Amino acid sequence: MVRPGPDRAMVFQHFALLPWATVLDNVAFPLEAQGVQKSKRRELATDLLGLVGLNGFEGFYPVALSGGMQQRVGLARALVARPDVLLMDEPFGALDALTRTFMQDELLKLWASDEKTVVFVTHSIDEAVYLSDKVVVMTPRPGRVAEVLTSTLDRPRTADVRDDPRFVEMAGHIRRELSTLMMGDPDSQAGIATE
Amino acid sequence: MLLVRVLYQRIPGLLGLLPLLIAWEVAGRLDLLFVLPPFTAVVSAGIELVVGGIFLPNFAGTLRSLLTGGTIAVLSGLTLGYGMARFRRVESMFDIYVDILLSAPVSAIVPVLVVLFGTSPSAIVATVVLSVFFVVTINAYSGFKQVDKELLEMARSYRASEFLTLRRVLLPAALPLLLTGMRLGIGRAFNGAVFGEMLILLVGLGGLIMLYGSQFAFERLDAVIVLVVITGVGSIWLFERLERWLLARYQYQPTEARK
Repeated sequence: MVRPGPDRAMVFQHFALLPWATVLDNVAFPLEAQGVQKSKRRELATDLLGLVGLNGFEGFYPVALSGGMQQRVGLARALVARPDVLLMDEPFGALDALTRTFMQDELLKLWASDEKTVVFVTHSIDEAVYLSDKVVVMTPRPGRVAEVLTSTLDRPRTADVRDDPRFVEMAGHIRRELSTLMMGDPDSQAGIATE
Repeated sequence: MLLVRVLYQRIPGLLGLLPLLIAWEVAGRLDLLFVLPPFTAVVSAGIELVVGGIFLPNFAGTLRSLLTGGTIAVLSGLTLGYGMARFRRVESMFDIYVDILLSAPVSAIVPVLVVLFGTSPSAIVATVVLSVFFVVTINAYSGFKQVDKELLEMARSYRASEFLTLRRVLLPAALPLLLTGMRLGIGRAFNGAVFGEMLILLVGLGGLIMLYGSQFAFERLDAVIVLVVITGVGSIWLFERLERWLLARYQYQPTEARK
Protein backbone atom coordinates (compact mmCIF):
# COMPACT_ATOMS: atom_id res chain seq x y z
CA MET A 1 0.00 0.00 0.00
CA VAL A 2 1.68 3.19 -1.14
CA ARG A 3 -0.84 6.01 -0.99
CA PRO A 4 -4.33 6.76 0.31
CA GLY A 5 -7.16 5.45 -1.81
CA PRO A 6 -10.95 5.67 -1.86
CA ASP A 7 -11.26 1.92 -1.28
CA ARG A 8 -9.81 2.02 2.21
CA ALA A 9 -10.34 4.11 5.30
CA MET A 10 -8.36 4.61 8.47
CA VAL A 11 -9.33 4.67 12.13
CA PHE A 12 -6.69 6.48 14.20
CA GLN A 13 -5.18 5.63 17.56
CA HIS A 14 -5.85 9.06 19.03
CA PHE A 15 -9.13 9.48 17.10
CA ALA A 16 -7.85 12.44 15.02
CA LEU A 17 -11.13 14.34 15.27
CA LEU A 18 -11.25 18.02 14.36
CA PRO A 19 -11.87 19.75 17.72
CA TRP A 20 -13.42 22.81 16.04
CA ALA A 21 -15.92 20.82 13.99
CA THR A 22 -19.15 19.26 15.18
CA VAL A 23 -19.58 15.50 15.36
CA LEU A 24 -21.64 15.64 12.16
CA ASP A 25 -19.01 17.67 10.28
CA ASN A 26 -16.28 15.31 11.47
CA VAL A 27 -18.13 12.26 10.17
CA ALA A 28 -18.90 14.04 6.89
CA PHE A 29 -15.27 15.01 6.30
CA PRO A 30 -14.39 12.14 3.89
CA LEU A 31 -17.50 12.97 1.85
CA GLU A 32 -16.53 16.64 1.80
CA ALA A 33 -13.11 15.58 0.52
CA GLN A 34 -14.84 13.66 -2.27
CA GLY A 35 -16.94 16.70 -3.19
CA VAL A 36 -20.29 15.24 -2.14
CA GLN A 37 -23.09 17.82 -1.85
CA LYS A 38 -23.84 19.26 1.57
CA SER A 39 -27.38 17.88 1.93
CA LYS A 40 -26.22 14.42 0.87
CA ARG A 41 -23.30 14.62 3.29
CA ARG A 42 -25.61 15.42 6.18
CA GLU A 43 -27.89 12.56 5.29
CA LEU A 44 -25.14 9.92 5.01
CA ALA A 45 -23.30 11.15 8.11
CA THR A 46 -26.50 11.12 10.16
CA ASP A 47 -27.16 7.53 9.05
CA LEU A 48 -23.70 6.45 10.12
CA LEU A 49 -24.02 8.17 13.50
CA GLY A 50 -27.18 6.15 14.03
CA LEU A 51 -25.28 2.99 13.16
CA VAL A 52 -22.62 3.63 15.82
CA GLY A 53 -25.26 4.63 18.38
CA LEU A 54 -24.63 8.37 18.46
CA ASN A 55 -28.07 9.62 17.48
CA GLY A 56 -28.68 13.09 18.85
CA PHE A 57 -25.00 14.02 19.18
CA GLU A 58 -24.72 15.56 15.69
CA GLY A 59 -24.25 19.13 16.95
CA PHE A 60 -21.82 18.29 19.76
CA TYR A 61 -18.12 19.05 19.64
CA PRO A 62 -15.66 16.20 20.29
CA VAL A 63 -14.51 17.58 23.69
CA ALA A 64 -18.03 17.02 25.01
CA LEU A 65 -17.82 13.27 24.32
CA SER A 66 -16.11 10.45 26.23
CA GLY A 67 -13.17 8.61 24.68
CA GLY A 68 -15.32 5.70 23.60
CA MET A 69 -17.84 8.00 21.97
CA GLN A 70 -15.07 9.93 20.23
CA GLN A 71 -13.71 6.75 18.72
CA ARG A 72 -17.20 5.81 17.58
CA VAL A 73 -17.21 9.11 15.71
CA GLY A 74 -13.86 8.06 14.22
CA LEU A 75 -15.36 4.73 13.22
CA ALA A 76 -18.41 6.39 11.65
CA ARG A 77 -16.11 8.72 9.72
CA ALA A 78 -14.13 5.77 8.38
CA LEU A 79 -17.28 3.93 7.31
CA VAL A 80 -19.15 6.88 5.80
CA ALA A 81 -17.49 6.67 2.38
CA ARG A 82 -18.15 2.91 2.13
CA PRO A 83 -14.56 1.67 1.88
CA ASP A 84 -13.79 -1.99 1.06
CA VAL A 85 -11.09 -2.23 3.69
CA LEU A 86 -11.01 -0.70 7.14
CA LEU A 87 -7.55 0.02 8.55
CA MET A 88 -7.49 0.31 12.32
CA ASP A 89 -4.25 1.36 14.01
CA GLU A 90 -4.59 0.43 17.69
CA PRO A 91 -8.00 2.10 17.66
CA PHE A 92 -8.93 1.16 21.20
CA GLY A 93 -5.45 1.64 22.68
CA ALA A 94 -6.31 5.03 24.19
CA LEU A 95 -9.45 3.74 25.92
CA ASP A 96 -9.85 2.32 29.42
CA ALA A 97 -10.20 -1.45 29.78
CA LEU A 98 -13.98 -1.55 30.24
CA THR A 99 -14.72 0.81 27.38
CA ARG A 100 -12.28 -1.17 25.30
CA THR A 101 -14.12 -4.49 25.66
CA PHE A 102 -17.39 -2.68 25.05
CA MET A 103 -16.02 -1.16 21.83
CA GLN A 104 -14.76 -4.58 20.71
CA ASP A 105 -18.30 -5.94 20.94
CA GLU A 106 -19.63 -2.86 19.10
CA LEU A 107 -17.10 -3.45 16.35
CA LEU A 108 -18.10 -7.11 16.05
CA LYS A 109 -21.74 -6.08 15.74
CA LEU A 110 -20.96 -3.49 13.08
CA TRP A 111 -18.78 -5.96 11.25
CA ALA A 112 -21.51 -8.60 11.27
CA SER A 113 -23.77 -6.24 9.27
CA ASP A 114 -21.54 -6.15 6.17
CA GLU A 115 -18.47 -8.32 6.83
CA LYS A 116 -15.93 -5.83 5.51
CA THR A 117 -12.24 -6.69 5.63
CA VAL A 118 -10.64 -5.09 8.67
CA VAL A 119 -6.90 -4.84 9.25
CA PHE A 120 -6.54 -4.23 12.96
CA VAL A 121 -3.22 -3.49 14.65
CA THR A 122 -3.12 -4.16 18.38
CA HIS A 123 -0.76 -4.90 21.25
CA SER A 124 -3.42 -6.87 23.08
CA ILE A 125 -3.35 -10.64 22.54
CA ASP A 126 -6.86 -10.96 23.96
CA GLU A 127 -8.17 -8.35 21.52
CA ALA A 128 -6.46 -10.04 18.58
CA VAL A 129 -7.81 -13.49 19.34
CA TYR A 130 -11.26 -12.20 20.23
CA LEU A 131 -11.83 -10.20 17.03
CA SER A 132 -9.92 -12.01 14.31
CA ASP A 133 -10.24 -14.69 11.70
CA LYS A 134 -6.54 -14.47 11.06
CA VAL A 135 -3.82 -13.29 13.44
CA VAL A 136 -0.48 -12.14 12.02
CA VAL A 137 2.28 -12.08 14.62
CA MET A 138 4.98 -9.54 13.79
CA THR A 139 8.62 -9.48 14.84
CA PRO A 140 9.97 -6.42 16.62
CA ARG A 141 12.37 -4.20 14.64
CA PRO A 142 12.29 -4.77 11.78
CA GLY A 143 8.57 -5.55 11.70
CA ARG A 144 8.32 -8.75 9.71
CA VAL A 145 5.67 -11.43 9.68
CA ALA A 146 6.64 -14.13 12.17
CA GLU A 147 3.58 -16.33 11.93
CA VAL A 148 0.05 -16.34 10.52
CA LEU A 149 -2.59 -18.12 12.61
CA THR A 150 -6.12 -18.90 11.50
CA SER A 151 -8.82 -18.77 14.15
CA THR A 152 -11.06 -21.79 14.63
CA LEU A 153 -13.51 -19.86 16.82
CA ASP A 154 -17.12 -19.59 15.60
CA ARG A 155 -19.00 -16.40 14.90
CA PRO A 156 -20.90 -14.54 16.17
CA ARG A 157 -18.69 -14.23 19.23
CA THR A 158 -19.63 -13.05 22.67
CA ALA A 159 -17.52 -12.37 25.76
CA ASP A 160 -17.90 -16.02 26.86
CA VAL A 161 -15.78 -17.17 23.94
CA ARG A 162 -12.80 -16.20 26.11
CA ASP A 163 -13.46 -19.35 28.21
CA ASP A 164 -13.39 -21.58 25.14
CA PRO A 165 -10.34 -23.92 25.26
CA ARG A 166 -9.52 -22.99 21.65
CA PHE A 167 -9.35 -19.31 22.66
CA VAL A 168 -7.11 -20.09 25.63
CA GLU A 169 -4.88 -22.30 23.53
CA MET A 170 -4.48 -19.72 20.73
CA ALA A 171 -3.84 -16.84 23.13
CA GLY A 172 -1.27 -18.93 24.99
CA HIS A 173 0.49 -19.82 21.77
CA ILE A 174 0.77 -16.17 20.73
CA ARG A 175 1.95 -15.16 24.20
CA ARG A 176 4.76 -17.71 24.18
CA GLU A 177 5.78 -16.79 20.66
CA LEU A 178 5.87 -13.08 21.43
CA SER A 179 7.93 -13.53 24.56
CA THR A 180 10.49 -15.55 22.60
CA LEU A 181 10.60 -12.83 19.94
CA MET A 182 10.99 -10.06 22.47
CA MET A 183 13.79 -11.80 24.32
CA GLY A 184 16.04 -10.91 21.37
CA ASP A 185 15.06 -7.23 21.61
CA PRO A 186 13.90 -6.37 25.11
CA ASP A 187 13.20 -2.67 24.49
CA SER A 188 10.74 -3.24 21.74
CA GLN A 189 7.08 -4.08 21.67
CA ALA A 190 6.18 -6.86 19.32
CA GLY A 191 2.93 -6.23 17.56
CA ILE A 192 0.04 -8.22 16.28
CA ALA A 193 -1.80 -7.44 13.11
CA THR A 194 -5.11 -9.15 12.79
CA GLU A 195 -7.73 -9.58 10.19
CA MET B 1 -21.88 51.23 21.26
CA LEU B 2 -19.03 48.79 21.10
CA LEU B 3 -16.38 51.40 21.88
CA VAL B 4 -18.23 52.51 25.00
CA ARG B 5 -18.59 48.90 26.13
CA VAL B 6 -14.89 48.23 25.62
CA LEU B 7 -14.00 51.36 27.60
CA TYR B 8 -16.40 50.37 30.37
CA GLN B 9 -14.72 46.96 30.69
CA ARG B 10 -11.36 48.67 30.99
CA ILE B 11 -12.32 51.12 33.74
CA PRO B 12 -10.31 49.33 36.49
CA GLY B 13 -7.27 49.34 34.20
CA LEU B 14 -7.77 52.96 33.27
CA LEU B 15 -7.91 53.95 36.95
CA GLY B 16 -4.30 52.83 37.18
CA LEU B 17 -3.44 55.80 34.95
CA LEU B 18 -4.74 58.28 37.50
CA PRO B 19 -1.54 58.62 39.61
CA LEU B 20 0.49 59.16 36.43
CA LEU B 21 -1.88 61.88 35.20
CA ILE B 22 -1.87 63.62 38.59
CA ALA B 23 1.93 63.52 38.71
CA TRP B 24 2.00 64.91 35.18
CA GLU B 25 -0.35 67.76 36.12
CA VAL B 26 1.66 68.63 39.24
CA ALA B 27 4.99 68.47 37.41
CA GLY B 28 3.54 70.67 34.66
CA ARG B 29 2.26 73.29 37.05
CA LEU B 30 5.55 73.39 38.92
CA ASP B 31 7.21 73.96 35.54
CA LEU B 32 9.75 71.21 36.25
CA LEU B 33 10.38 70.37 32.63
CA PHE B 34 9.73 72.72 29.76
CA VAL B 35 8.62 69.91 27.41
CA LEU B 36 5.96 68.92 29.92
CA PRO B 37 3.10 71.40 30.19
CA PRO B 38 0.28 70.53 32.65
CA PHE B 39 -1.93 67.65 31.55
CA THR B 40 -5.04 69.84 31.52
CA ALA B 41 -3.35 72.28 29.15
CA VAL B 42 -2.49 69.37 26.86
CA VAL B 43 -6.09 68.18 26.98
CA SER B 44 -7.45 71.59 26.02
CA ALA B 45 -4.88 71.85 23.23
CA GLY B 46 -6.04 68.43 22.08
CA ILE B 47 -9.69 69.47 22.09
CA GLU B 48 -8.76 72.58 20.14
CA LEU B 49 -6.95 70.47 17.54
CA VAL B 50 -9.89 68.11 17.14
CA VAL B 51 -12.60 70.83 17.07
CA GLY B 52 -10.50 73.13 14.94
CA GLY B 53 -10.40 70.50 12.19
CA ILE B 54 -6.64 70.00 12.22
CA PHE B 55 -6.46 66.60 13.82
CA LEU B 56 -9.03 64.63 11.83
CA PRO B 57 -7.77 65.20 8.25
CA ASN B 58 -4.24 64.34 9.32
CA PHE B 59 -5.47 61.38 11.31
CA ALA B 60 -7.39 60.15 8.25
CA GLY B 61 -4.23 60.38 6.17
CA THR B 62 -2.25 58.36 8.69
CA LEU B 63 -5.08 55.86 8.99
CA ARG B 64 -5.15 55.40 5.22
CA SER B 65 -1.45 54.48 4.95
CA LEU B 66 -1.87 52.34 8.05
CA LEU B 67 -4.77 50.33 6.66
CA THR B 68 -3.32 50.02 3.15
CA GLY B 69 0.06 48.94 4.46
CA GLY B 70 -1.47 46.71 7.11
CA THR B 71 -3.67 44.90 4.61
CA ILE B 72 -0.79 44.30 2.21
CA ALA B 73 1.42 43.10 5.05
CA VAL B 74 -1.20 40.76 6.54
CA LEU B 75 -2.16 39.19 3.22
CA SER B 76 1.42 38.63 2.09
CA GLY B 77 2.61 37.64 5.57
CA LEU B 78 -0.09 35.01 5.99
CA THR B 79 0.62 33.64 2.52
CA LEU B 80 4.37 33.43 3.07
CA GLY B 81 3.95 31.94 6.55
CA TYR B 82 1.62 29.31 5.13
CA GLY B 83 3.97 28.57 2.24
CA MET B 84 6.96 28.22 4.54
CA ALA B 85 5.12 25.95 6.96
CA ARG B 86 3.70 23.66 4.26
CA PHE B 87 6.41 23.48 1.61
CA ARG B 88 9.97 22.54 2.47
CA ARG B 89 11.40 24.39 -0.51
CA VAL B 90 9.68 27.67 0.33
CA GLU B 91 10.85 27.27 3.90
CA SER B 92 14.53 26.85 3.10
CA MET B 93 14.35 29.70 0.58
CA PHE B 94 12.84 32.35 2.84
CA ASP B 95 13.98 31.29 6.29
CA ILE B 96 17.13 33.37 6.26
CA TYR B 97 15.42 36.51 4.88
CA VAL B 98 12.82 36.47 7.60
CA ASP B 99 15.49 36.11 10.26
CA ILE B 100 17.54 38.94 8.80
CA LEU B 101 14.65 41.35 8.41
CA LEU B 102 13.16 40.52 11.78
CA SER B 103 16.30 41.70 13.50
CA ALA B 104 17.09 44.58 11.13
CA PRO B 105 15.58 47.90 12.27
CA VAL B 106 13.02 49.22 9.79
CA SER B 107 14.32 52.74 10.36
CA ALA B 108 17.56 51.67 8.71
CA ILE B 109 15.66 50.62 5.60
CA VAL B 110 13.63 53.82 5.28
CA PRO B 111 16.31 55.66 3.22
CA VAL B 112 16.25 52.73 0.80
CA LEU B 113 12.47 53.04 0.56
CA VAL B 114 12.78 56.76 -0.22
CA VAL B 115 15.14 55.94 -3.08
CA LEU B 116 12.73 53.27 -4.33
CA PHE B 117 9.43 55.13 -3.99
CA GLY B 118 10.53 58.75 -3.84
CA THR B 119 9.20 61.07 -1.14
CA SER B 120 5.65 59.87 -1.79
CA PRO B 121 2.80 58.37 0.22
CA SER B 122 3.83 54.98 -1.23
CA ALA B 123 7.07 55.19 0.71
CA ILE B 124 5.05 55.63 3.93
CA VAL B 125 2.85 52.66 3.03
CA ALA B 126 6.01 50.66 2.36
CA THR B 127 7.33 51.58 5.82
CA VAL B 128 4.11 50.25 7.36
CA VAL B 129 4.31 47.06 5.27
CA LEU B 130 7.87 46.38 6.38
CA SER B 131 7.03 47.10 10.02
CA VAL B 132 4.09 44.70 10.09
CA PHE B 133 5.05 42.01 7.58
CA PHE B 134 7.57 40.04 9.62
CA VAL B 135 5.70 39.70 12.86
CA VAL B 136 2.66 38.44 10.90
CA THR B 137 4.81 36.04 8.87
CA ILE B 138 6.68 34.59 11.84
CA ASN B 139 3.50 33.95 13.80
CA ALA B 140 1.65 32.49 10.81
CA TYR B 141 4.66 30.28 10.11
CA SER B 142 4.77 28.79 13.60
CA GLY B 143 0.95 28.64 13.74
CA PHE B 144 0.73 26.54 10.58
CA LYS B 145 3.82 24.58 11.56
CA GLN B 146 2.53 23.35 14.90
CA VAL B 147 -0.73 21.89 13.61
CA ASP B 148 -1.34 18.41 15.04
CA LYS B 149 0.40 15.93 12.73
CA GLU B 150 -2.27 13.29 13.23
CA LEU B 151 -4.97 15.67 11.94
CA LEU B 152 -2.92 16.37 8.81
CA GLU B 153 -2.40 12.64 8.34
CA MET B 154 -6.15 12.16 8.74
CA ALA B 155 -6.89 14.76 6.06
CA ARG B 156 -4.36 13.14 3.74
CA SER B 157 -5.73 9.65 4.35
CA TYR B 158 -9.16 10.81 3.19
CA ARG B 159 -7.50 12.49 0.22
CA ALA B 160 -8.66 15.98 1.14
CA SER B 161 -7.48 18.65 -1.29
CA GLU B 162 -4.95 21.21 -0.08
CA PHE B 163 -7.76 23.80 -0.09
CA LEU B 164 -10.04 21.68 2.10
CA THR B 165 -7.13 20.86 4.42
CA LEU B 166 -6.43 24.58 4.70
CA ARG B 167 -10.04 25.44 5.44
CA ARG B 168 -10.90 22.58 7.80
CA VAL B 169 -7.59 21.79 9.49
CA LEU B 170 -4.82 24.36 9.03
CA LEU B 171 -6.71 27.63 9.41
CA PRO B 172 -8.74 26.75 12.53
CA ALA B 173 -5.66 25.19 14.14
CA ALA B 174 -3.41 28.14 13.39
CA LEU B 175 -6.02 30.83 14.07
CA PRO B 176 -4.79 31.87 17.56
CA LEU B 177 -1.29 32.58 16.31
CA LEU B 178 -2.52 34.22 13.10
CA LEU B 179 -4.49 36.64 15.24
CA THR B 180 -1.59 37.16 17.64
CA GLY B 181 0.61 38.14 14.72
CA MET B 182 -1.97 40.65 13.53
CA ARG B 183 -2.48 42.09 17.02
CA LEU B 184 1.27 42.63 17.44
CA GLY B 185 1.20 44.12 13.96
CA ILE B 186 -1.21 46.89 15.00
CA GLY B 187 1.30 48.54 17.31
CA ARG B 188 4.02 48.21 14.72
CA ALA B 189 1.76 49.66 12.05
CA PHE B 190 1.19 52.83 14.09
CA ASN B 191 4.88 52.98 14.74
CA GLY B 192 5.75 52.55 11.08
CA ALA B 193 3.14 55.01 9.80
CA VAL B 194 4.04 57.85 12.16
CA PHE B 195 7.72 57.20 11.74
CA GLY B 196 7.43 57.18 7.96
CA GLU B 197 5.47 60.43 7.98
CA MET B 198 8.07 62.11 10.18
CA LEU B 199 10.97 60.97 8.11
CA ILE B 200 9.70 60.92 4.56
CA LEU B 201 6.92 63.39 3.83
CA LEU B 202 5.84 65.43 6.88
CA VAL B 203 2.17 64.59 6.47
CA GLY B 204 -0.44 63.07 8.77
CA LEU B 205 0.13 62.73 12.49
CA GLY B 206 3.87 62.24 12.09
CA GLY B 207 3.95 65.49 10.17
CA LEU B 208 2.06 67.28 12.97
CA ILE B 209 4.52 65.93 15.53
CA MET B 210 7.48 67.24 13.55
CA LEU B 211 5.77 70.60 12.98
CA TYR B 212 4.84 71.24 16.61
CA GLY B 213 8.19 69.93 17.77
CA SER B 214 10.05 72.43 15.62
CA GLN B 215 7.76 75.22 16.85
CA PHE B 216 8.31 74.23 20.49
CA ALA B 217 4.48 74.05 20.75
CA PHE B 218 4.59 71.43 23.47
CA GLU B 219 0.90 71.52 24.43
CA ARG B 220 -0.04 70.63 20.88
CA LEU B 221 2.86 68.23 20.44
CA ASP B 222 1.94 66.28 23.58
CA ALA B 223 -1.73 66.36 22.59
CA VAL B 224 -0.96 64.70 19.25
CA ILE B 225 1.21 62.09 20.96
CA VAL B 226 -1.55 61.33 23.47
CA LEU B 227 -4.10 61.04 20.68
CA VAL B 228 -1.84 58.65 18.76
CA VAL B 229 -1.38 56.52 21.85
CA ILE B 230 -5.13 56.50 22.55
CA THR B 231 -6.03 55.39 19.02
CA GLY B 232 -3.28 52.78 19.04
CA VAL B 233 -4.28 51.27 22.36
CA GLY B 234 -7.98 51.53 21.44
CA SER B 235 -7.41 49.64 18.18
CA ILE B 236 -5.60 46.88 20.04
CA TRP B 237 -8.46 46.61 22.55
CA LEU B 238 -11.02 46.42 19.77
CA PHE B 239 -8.94 43.80 17.98
CA GLU B 240 -8.71 41.73 21.17
CA ARG B 241 -12.51 41.63 21.26
CA LEU B 242 -12.66 40.52 17.64
CA GLU B 243 -10.02 37.93 18.47
CA ARG B 244 -11.98 36.49 21.39
CA TRP B 245 -15.14 36.38 19.31
CA LEU B 246 -13.41 34.58 16.44
CA LEU B 247 -11.69 32.07 18.72
CA ALA B 248 -14.94 31.27 20.47
CA ARG B 249 -16.56 30.80 17.07
CA TYR B 250 -13.93 28.67 15.35
CA GLN B 251 -11.76 27.24 18.03
CA TYR B 252 -12.17 25.56 21.29
CA GLN B 253 -15.92 25.45 21.17
CA PRO B 254 -18.37 25.28 24.03
CA THR B 255 -19.06 21.90 25.61
CA GLU B 256 -22.67 22.05 24.50
CA ALA B 257 -24.08 21.89 21.06
CA ARG B 258 -24.18 25.07 19.07
CA LYS B 259 -27.85 25.63 18.34
